[in-house]
Amino acid sequence: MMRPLSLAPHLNNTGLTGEDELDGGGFNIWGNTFPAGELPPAGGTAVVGEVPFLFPVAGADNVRCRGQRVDVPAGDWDWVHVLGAAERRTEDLVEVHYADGSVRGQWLRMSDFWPQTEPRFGEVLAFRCRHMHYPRHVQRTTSPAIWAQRVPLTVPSGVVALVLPDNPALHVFALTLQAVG
Amino acid sequence: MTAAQLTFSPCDLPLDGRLVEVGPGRYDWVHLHLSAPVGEAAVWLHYRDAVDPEFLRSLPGTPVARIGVPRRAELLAVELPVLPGVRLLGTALS
Repeated sequence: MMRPLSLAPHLNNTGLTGEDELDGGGFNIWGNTFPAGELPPAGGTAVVGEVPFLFPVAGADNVRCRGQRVDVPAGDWDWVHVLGAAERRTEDLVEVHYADGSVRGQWLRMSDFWPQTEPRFGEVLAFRCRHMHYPRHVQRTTSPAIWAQRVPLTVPSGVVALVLPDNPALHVFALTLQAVG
Repeated sequence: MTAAQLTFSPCDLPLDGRLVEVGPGRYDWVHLHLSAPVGEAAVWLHYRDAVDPEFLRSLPGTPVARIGVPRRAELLAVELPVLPGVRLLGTALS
């Protein structure tokens, strides 16, 4: 069983723009963005490798990781599936918080959105766009990527929250829990 | 898959930092039957093209630990932690 999570309270970055609003976002410091028209419709469900992700609505559409706490519904969870990309590749710890107050770390590794290479960390390529948006033009020779990564929950019971890394190079578009079994 | 549903291949090895080979393949979990519960230790997953640290933790109240295998890549071996007095009694892959 898969359970997509809403990231709506945490969305703090606009990484997708249309060609008529090229300067309307800024996935990185240079204002580059993904072309929204080449990605799933805003607010829809995108299935990547049998994992359904709630694709974000228009506007702020991803979480630039700054230690946000994402509540987890009750259940026994095996995996956290992560739809995301990084400004340069990065790996950092997600804190997994439990009902008894314990906290366990798990590695989250995410490849760079920019270079047109294979994933560095064995992720699934979720989307490869054909263009990159700059604030004042469309770059038709650059093909940014969004990756589907997964984070194991070594202790599956009693998880109440995930605390994302304090790492602004890491961007998360969607999270989906996978139940044990 | 729960620990009770697993069939462990028996062994008896010290946790002394050794490399334990697995049948090369793509897996979700490496399950370890240990001689005693382990709170937390680092293990290294050796893939064909990469080596990553991951966490080894026993399921609460049991001597069974499970290690997630995040990469969609061929796993070749698990580098065990150094934990004097703890032994590996069986492995299972899923």
